[in-house]
Amino acid sequence: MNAPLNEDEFGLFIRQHLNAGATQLSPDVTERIFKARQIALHRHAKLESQPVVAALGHSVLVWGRDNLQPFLLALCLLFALGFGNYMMSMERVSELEEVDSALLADDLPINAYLDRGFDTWLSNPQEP
Amino acid sequence: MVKASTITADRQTLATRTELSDFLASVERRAFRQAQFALRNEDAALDVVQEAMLKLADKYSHKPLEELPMLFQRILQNAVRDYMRRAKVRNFWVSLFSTLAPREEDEADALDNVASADDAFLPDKPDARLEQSQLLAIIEKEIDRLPPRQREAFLMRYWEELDIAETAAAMGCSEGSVKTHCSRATNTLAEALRARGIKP
Repeated sequence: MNAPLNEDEFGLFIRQHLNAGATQLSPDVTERIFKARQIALHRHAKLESQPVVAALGHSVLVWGRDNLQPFLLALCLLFALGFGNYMMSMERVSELEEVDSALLADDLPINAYLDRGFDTWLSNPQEP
Repeated sequence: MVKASTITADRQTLATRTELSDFLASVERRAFRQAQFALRNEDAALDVVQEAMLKLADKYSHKPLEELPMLFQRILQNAVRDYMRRAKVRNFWVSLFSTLAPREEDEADALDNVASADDAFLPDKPDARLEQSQLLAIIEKEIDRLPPRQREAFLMRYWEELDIAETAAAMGCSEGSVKTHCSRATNTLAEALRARGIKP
């Protein structure tokens, strides 16, 4: 019959052995880990040496890159839709301008087009 | 130096360069072994540890010192998962083009490593040292066999000495799940060791 297991004591037993194992890494691995730490610390030193505004800007950029990407995509989509709508409106305005110009350049007075009798006269093919 | 002391005075508990350096030095070997347990590849584990260190220095070095262990664990576990995802995609394409590619073998265990005598837990006598190396190899093998989430929880709780709340935050799960994972991992490990005649 096994005695009830004390989780903390067992954890300590394992920890001691794993810690001993962690000190026995090969020199090559130890060297590469050391280099990795130096690179990370160099990066940290670079950030620390930046002026406060630049550091803040960097933080904002990093935060923005991570959190604002979906919003930026949505914003781009909205901009594209708005631009498309604007271009279509401009095209419509230009068409209306052409019609207006044609009307104004015509010999007939503009009221003639609003006259029902004139429409009837135009649609009657027998009249010359 | 004036700048560092000013920062220390202004931010009190925030990590300075020296504190960050000490912290990384204190966790780097364990982090490497944790990554190696998960990835079973020395180079991959080293890459992941470097990535985690860079991310911590780049993004979280302004955080209070006491939060760094939990944050580093979280970054490390995410880096491990990202690496696994990338490897899965890569393996899919590789296997698609070449079914003859050899499978990755497990890396050599700690018995192959060169011993150093800088730890008080290491015995002085060669036979005791050999015995301890053999025991360590067994323990590492059994830890390696644990399901990934149980291994993560167990190592964070009992090797990294994070408390339950910190472990839950690092793993992104509930405290109840951490307790369950730890309990199962402990029982599995204890049974496996008993079966090999090792009494904790």
